[in-house]
Amino acid sequence: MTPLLIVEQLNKIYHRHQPDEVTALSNISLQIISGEVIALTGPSGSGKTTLLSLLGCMSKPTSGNIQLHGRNVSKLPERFLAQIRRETFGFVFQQYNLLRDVSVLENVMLPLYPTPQSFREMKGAATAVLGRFELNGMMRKKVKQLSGGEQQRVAIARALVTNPEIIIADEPTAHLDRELSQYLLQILSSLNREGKTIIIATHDPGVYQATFIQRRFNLRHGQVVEDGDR
Amino acid sequence: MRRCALYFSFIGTTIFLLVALLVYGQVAVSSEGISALAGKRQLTHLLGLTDLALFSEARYTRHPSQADLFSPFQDFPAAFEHFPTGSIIPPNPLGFSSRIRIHHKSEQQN
Amino acid sequence: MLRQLKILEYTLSSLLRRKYKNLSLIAVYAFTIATLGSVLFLTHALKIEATGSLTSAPELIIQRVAAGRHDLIPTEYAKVIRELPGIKSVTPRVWGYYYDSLIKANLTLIGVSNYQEKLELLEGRLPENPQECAIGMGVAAAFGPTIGDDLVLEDSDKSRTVFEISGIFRAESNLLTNDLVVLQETALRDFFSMDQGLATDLIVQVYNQRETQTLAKKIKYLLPDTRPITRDEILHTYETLFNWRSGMMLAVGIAALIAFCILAWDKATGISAMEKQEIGILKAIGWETAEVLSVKFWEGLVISLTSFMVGILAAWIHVFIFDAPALIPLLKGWSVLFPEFQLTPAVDFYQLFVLAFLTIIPYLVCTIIPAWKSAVTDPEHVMRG
Repeated sequence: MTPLLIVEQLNKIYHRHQPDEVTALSNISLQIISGEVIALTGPSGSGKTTLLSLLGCMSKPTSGNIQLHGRNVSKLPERFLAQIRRETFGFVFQQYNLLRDVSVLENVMLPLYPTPQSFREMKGAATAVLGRFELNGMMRKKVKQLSGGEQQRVAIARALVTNPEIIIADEPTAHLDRELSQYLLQILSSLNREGKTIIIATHDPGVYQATFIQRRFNLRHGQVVEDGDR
Repeated sequence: MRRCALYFSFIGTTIFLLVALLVYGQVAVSSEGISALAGKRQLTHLLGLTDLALFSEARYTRHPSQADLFSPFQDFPAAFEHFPTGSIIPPNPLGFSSRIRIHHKSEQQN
Repeated sequence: MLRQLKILEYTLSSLLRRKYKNLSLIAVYAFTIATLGSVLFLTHALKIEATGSLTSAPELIIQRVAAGRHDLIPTEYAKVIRELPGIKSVTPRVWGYYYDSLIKANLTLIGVSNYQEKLELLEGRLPENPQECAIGMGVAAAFGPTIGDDLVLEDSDKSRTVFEISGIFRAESNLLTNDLVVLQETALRDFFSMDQGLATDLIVQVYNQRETQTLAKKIKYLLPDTRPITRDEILHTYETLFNWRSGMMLAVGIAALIAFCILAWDKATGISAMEKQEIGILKAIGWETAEVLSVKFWEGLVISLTSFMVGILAAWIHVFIFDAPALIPLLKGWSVLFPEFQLTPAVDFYQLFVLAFLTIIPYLVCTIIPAWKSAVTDPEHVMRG
């Protein structure tokens, strides 16, 4: 099976050639098959978030290649990366990164603005995905009026509204209690059953030891020190 | 797209209003009926009027085009105005006309 | 097109989220534009009024200057001028000022003779004998007379002369006639004790208007103590209205400029943390840099265009419907007989365009530039919260 994502000799250095130069990732190579659920683990500062952002085309590597569907995306111009982010990836951020003064519906519609869909189609898609998470009754509420768990569900709904192939989640259970964490894992598991590839960065054992996690990459000091099945 | 439509309606209305007012202004200027231009010209011609009766403070603000050179510059040319409206209207004259000549002694001896 | 409409929809929604701040911004900006617009409209309308009405002013006026000051001119100068080729007619003019200490107003007294026409803008008629006068509306308003009443003026010999009011100029002519008292020339000469051999100045009409400057130079050469004033110079005075010296234009312009600099400085010194985060989120979820900058462009355009339209309409209404009450105190100065006038609503399109350009473009720039850095930054920083 052709890998969905191929990473070869990936390096990421911040503030290069400056006194505060930091090597966040060093010679990372890995492959991800379509439909897999991957956990990236490691302590804070190990490079999990950096690797997620590179895989999700949110920044460019200092050196190395990333191939998505056989296409090298590591050197594409920004506008193509934006299109790939929009069409292929759905992001669930650690801090949710929702617009707090904006309604739930509008937050979920945000990724659809640059698409050719009409306003009515956008609203329809957003309403459908919110319905899936039982958030229809809160569509008009502002995000700041919601609880942490509700905000997390809105964030996931926003990530799904473009029907992406790959879900990237950065510490998704960081602000959730045990019950809500379990609920979140059920959602991710069901998304995987629908065929979506899921990449989760976490240091929560409750997540990386979950049954639906198929593979785990353990990072330390910007390098993969362990790569194997869960 | 309710907000878009509302905004375009608002701006469209204001633009339409402005254009209508501007067109009305152009029509009014050329229409003697609105501007009473013929009557004003008749007055100007018959009475020999040369200035608008805008400012009655001093003779050089009442008839700025007729004022002698002395009045507006009565203290010195860059002095602050005596009358508020003196700083609205320009004192004449146009251009330069120097009337001072110097004949040096050496030229005269030659 | 659809994409831009959607982005505009998002922008409007974003502006409404901070509606009080943005409405205040629009209000201040519109007020600044209305102030500048009012001054532009008023001055242009006055110029149009002057250039419209005063194109029938005499082609040449010959004054006499003595010791640097205006003096009466001997009527025999007219004979010298009449002999120049190209001169159609030379008419002595008698007019002067009359100060009334009761109302503290300066009236302009004009003498007329040899007229036949019925004046459109005069109710009643011009004086037909030395005991009659026609007055402007400002004079009528100051003293309250009507046609048929008497106007009593005290001359320099302290004797009182009574003139029956035969006509009052109509309100449409206020800008020209507001402070006038028109008498027969003989009556005015008596009143001013002006000798028959003297006049206030001479009106000269020429056959070919292109020769006016040449004739003026010739007259100046032949009569060195005279000062010829051409009609072009008269009109030039009013074309440069509001353009000169200290005070008014500068004060209004500087106030507006300061207001705008404050606005621009506020915008340009930076984009708030919240706005940066918003840009980062949009980029992270798949918006391109160009789309993010489109949001900023629409934001700037909505604010500045709305402010401009509201400001200009307010200026138009202020000047042409309400007769510029906020500017009148500036215009009036210490004038007592200030005419109540309604201006023809003429607008200079070039000035309007320049004002639009100067108010919209800089604001757009001040909105887009601060957002540029955030817009081109990698969205990965958003991932880090």
